[in-house]
Amino acid sequence: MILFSVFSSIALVSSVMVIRAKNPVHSVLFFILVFFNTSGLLVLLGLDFFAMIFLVVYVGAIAVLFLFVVMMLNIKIAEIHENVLRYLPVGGIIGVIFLLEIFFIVDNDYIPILPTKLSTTYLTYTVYAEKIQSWTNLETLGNLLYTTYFVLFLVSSLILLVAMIGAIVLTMHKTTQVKRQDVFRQNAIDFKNTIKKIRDI
Amino acid sequence: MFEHDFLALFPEIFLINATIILLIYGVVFSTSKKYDYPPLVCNVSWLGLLSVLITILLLASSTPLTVANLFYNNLIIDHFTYFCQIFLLVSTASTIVMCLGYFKEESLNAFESIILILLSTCSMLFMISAYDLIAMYLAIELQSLCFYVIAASKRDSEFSTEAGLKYFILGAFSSGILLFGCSMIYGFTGVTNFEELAKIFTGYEITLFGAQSSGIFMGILFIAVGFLFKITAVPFHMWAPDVYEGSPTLVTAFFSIAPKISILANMVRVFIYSFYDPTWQQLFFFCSIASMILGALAAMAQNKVKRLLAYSSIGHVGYLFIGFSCGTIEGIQSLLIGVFIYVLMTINVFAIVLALRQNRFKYIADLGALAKTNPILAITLSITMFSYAGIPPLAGFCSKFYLFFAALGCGAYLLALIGVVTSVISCFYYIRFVKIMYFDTPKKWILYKPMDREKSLLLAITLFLISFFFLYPSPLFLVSHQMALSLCL
Repeated sequence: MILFSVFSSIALVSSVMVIRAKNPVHSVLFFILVFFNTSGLLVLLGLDFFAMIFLVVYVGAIAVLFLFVVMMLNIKIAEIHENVLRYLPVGGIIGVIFLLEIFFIVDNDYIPILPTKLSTTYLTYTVYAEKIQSWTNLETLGNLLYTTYFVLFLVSSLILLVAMIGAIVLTMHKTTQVKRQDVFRQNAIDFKNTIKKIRDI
Repeated sequence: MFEHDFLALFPEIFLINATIILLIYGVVFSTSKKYDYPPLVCNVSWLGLLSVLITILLLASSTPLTVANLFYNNLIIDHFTYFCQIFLLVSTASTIVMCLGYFKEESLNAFESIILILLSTCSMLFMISAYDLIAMYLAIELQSLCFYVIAASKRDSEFSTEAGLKYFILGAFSSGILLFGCSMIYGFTGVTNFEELAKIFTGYEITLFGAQSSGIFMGILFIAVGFLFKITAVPFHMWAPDVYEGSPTLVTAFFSIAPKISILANMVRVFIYSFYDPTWQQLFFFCSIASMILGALAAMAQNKVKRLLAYSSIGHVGYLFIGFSCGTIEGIQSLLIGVFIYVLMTINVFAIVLALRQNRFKYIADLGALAKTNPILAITLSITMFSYAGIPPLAGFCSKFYLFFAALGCGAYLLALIGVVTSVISCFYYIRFVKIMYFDTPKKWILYKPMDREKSLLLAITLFLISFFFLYPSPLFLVSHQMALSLCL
């Protein structure tokens, strides 16, 4: 419970910071912090695989892409002196709708809000659910992916191979017009010998 | 666990291994200083052709299993997939034959495009035999990734880059829609296997306003939209003319031949076998009518050859969808015959387009007075164009005849009527080729180089099949009947 409150509060604070930060790079970094905390929350819920995927996909790919874009565009530290209240009505309506939707979902009986308490003092019985050897998500996925569904795994590896070939084909220039620097020769050059006086004037 | 499955999948395993060995060969030797950076594209394309031919042999002769579900119901082989795969491999082989001279003329040293063509052929083999939504999606994704790269493979041309980018963005979009449909189906039924889906959907009435099934309806709709994007049927065809025009001619030929076979095979498997239901029939009715009309009308205004062929392929997709939307065994049979003949004619046309090169055969008007300069080629092209237009007794007439007959057989009179009307309209621009070749006298006469031997052989074979198909069509009928039966029973 402490971990939950720590994760969720840091996530909330840093998500506010994402939109309030003046420097876009800081904003992206706070964005990454939000993802870290949400994946911590997912681990607390027992969704370990999802937490990993969250980190790998969002932080590893998308947030880094954002960071690159922000750095390349060379945005100056934005002049956010605008009135925030201008956006309050639209943002507030969207936020309220979103909150209502979440409440509709939570209100359904999928998640018991109050923990049910059964008095188990006068009955002795075997809880078969505990006797079942249970696997975590990761173990289950690994077991299925590497044995039963290994064809799909191989096909996805082919997809990655194609992505690699495609990136190389589309970007590498093999023509002779491209002037490449030979690093070793460049470093070995003595600058005293590069410019020579050939004849006396 | 899977020891027998590997036996059945031997051709695919061979093709993948051969492709990867070719890739390593190309990478190692094209960067070796010892051999002075050799241009490997000719070697790699001959070796690739050889490996495709060996795969055909392996598939045709020595498969010990003929009907089986493989790899925990992820793949299936039966008579349908058997003939479809052989047909696909033959058409890929003929595409590679077409491009043998192309790289030399174009001085394009990119052996990787052959590797990518082979890899996409592997993916199409998987797509034909896919028996699970996940396997289907992975195969489609592998194929489209290869296609994005080879569409943009001619890097010094702006058109090619534009085509690659456009194809990439729209293709990624359609893959997303397809995946969304798959996950809707999975969410509402809990299964991804085609056989279990077929069991669930038997007698299950899918209505738009049914309380429990609107999700399933949406899922089927999204999957259908994804497929229609991939196969360039009309409301989702916008990318096709630009991509077909922009990418190198060889790639255009490959795009308009091979994926039509594999995607149609997979669509038939998904929609006729799994989701057999009259709900999607109206959707395909609409797409068929719209594709036929647009293919006939929009192609009239085109002056560039590749763009015209793109619109003509859109129109032909419309004709093929007649057989598809019937949903009967005759419909599937006529669809298979139609695909076979369409691929024959397209191979022929693209071999001619690739063969006619002075600088580049780009506009239709460049064909002027071809009858005087190269009469045999002019006759070949005019026979193919007559066949495209559906003039009896050529092969194109037979395919259209059976498609319309199937439509009449299931009571879709409107489809047959519009098909007849649009094929009359499309006669105009097909026969315009003939008119330009025989009757126009251009200001500047263009003399084309003689074509290479491989292309002439390919042209001779396809022309023979197109012109004399009507004499002995029964083998194709038997084969397609068996395919349709093995799918529907």
